[in-house]
Amino acid sequence: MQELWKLFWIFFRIGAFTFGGGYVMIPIIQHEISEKHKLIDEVDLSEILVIAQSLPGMMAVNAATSVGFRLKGKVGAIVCALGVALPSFLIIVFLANLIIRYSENSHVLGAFQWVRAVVVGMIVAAAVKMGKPCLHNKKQMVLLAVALLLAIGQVHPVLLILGGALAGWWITRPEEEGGRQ
Amino acid sequence: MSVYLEMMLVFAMIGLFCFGGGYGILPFIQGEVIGRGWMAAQEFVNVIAVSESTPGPLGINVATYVGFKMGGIVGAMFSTVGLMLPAFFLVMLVTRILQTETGEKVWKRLTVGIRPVVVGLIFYAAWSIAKTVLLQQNGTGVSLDFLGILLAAIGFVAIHKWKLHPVILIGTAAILGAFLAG
Repeated sequence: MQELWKLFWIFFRIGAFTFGGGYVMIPIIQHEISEKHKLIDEVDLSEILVIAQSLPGMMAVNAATSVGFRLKGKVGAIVCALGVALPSFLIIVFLANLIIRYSENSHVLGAFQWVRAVVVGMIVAAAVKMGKPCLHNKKQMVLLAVALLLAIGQVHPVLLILGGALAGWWITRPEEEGGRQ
Repeated sequence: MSVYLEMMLVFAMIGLFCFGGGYGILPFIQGEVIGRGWMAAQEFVNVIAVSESTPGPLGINVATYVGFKMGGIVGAMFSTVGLMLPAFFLVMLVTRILQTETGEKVWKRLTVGIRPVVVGLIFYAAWSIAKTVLLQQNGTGVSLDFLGILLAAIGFVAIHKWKLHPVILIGTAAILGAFLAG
């Protein structure tokens, strides 16, 4: 029980103090779990974190769930995931109240008007950064363009992602299959 | 179906299919959240801004905000737990498979295709968001919001070139906007 509390508290602090999402959390999780509390050794932990990053979902939640599951089974997984998510949950519930209450205030309206515009620029910057690795691969460029066109055509994102997985399987098939003659 | 259950299912689907880090949820918001009338497009961009200025993942923040707005604390719990649910099953079932050599190889091959699709989807989401933020509706029709376009361009350069921290960018825009916008 005491150990579960300790895990909860570790991940609660990680959730409460890391700005900028999952990638910022990785070194902090490594520090807390491997170096400071010596709960999982560094090699095992980095393997867990690589998988957490490649799975869908919120990376921070995936990482917390994996660490908890490894140490304390299902209960540990739930405790760590709740720990990492609870700070954002509480902060947003608090702020949502304020935002909804003051949404007619002219200063708040003005602040959000300017903020929305810079957020548009931020999202485009993030998309460009994510797209860069695809530039080196013609097949991936084609997939990107096809996905964009189909998205404009209102095809559901889930279908496109499943299609992307199939396409990935297809374009990485081994060349020598069946011994081309 | 009660809205609680509907939110839980919708966010569980988002949790299962959002790839590519924080902005991986963007492609689903237009159709699944704004389309259902759970929040307005402008409101969603506000939540992104709040999320970038507070700790924690964007997905959790969006799920909590939408849930809270639709059904108070209980609603927020339903939507946030829904979002997190797939992670439990994936971590418990898939981690062991991905640790085998075959599993790792198969997953790598699939992600070669998933990654560019996600980028394409995020570009489309960015375009739809830009449209709702930077086009002004007025009496006679739509017009471009030139100040907004300038601010968006500054935001892009600040992040892309100057590597400014998002909190600083958003904080500055908020303070200036609070007094200068009108």
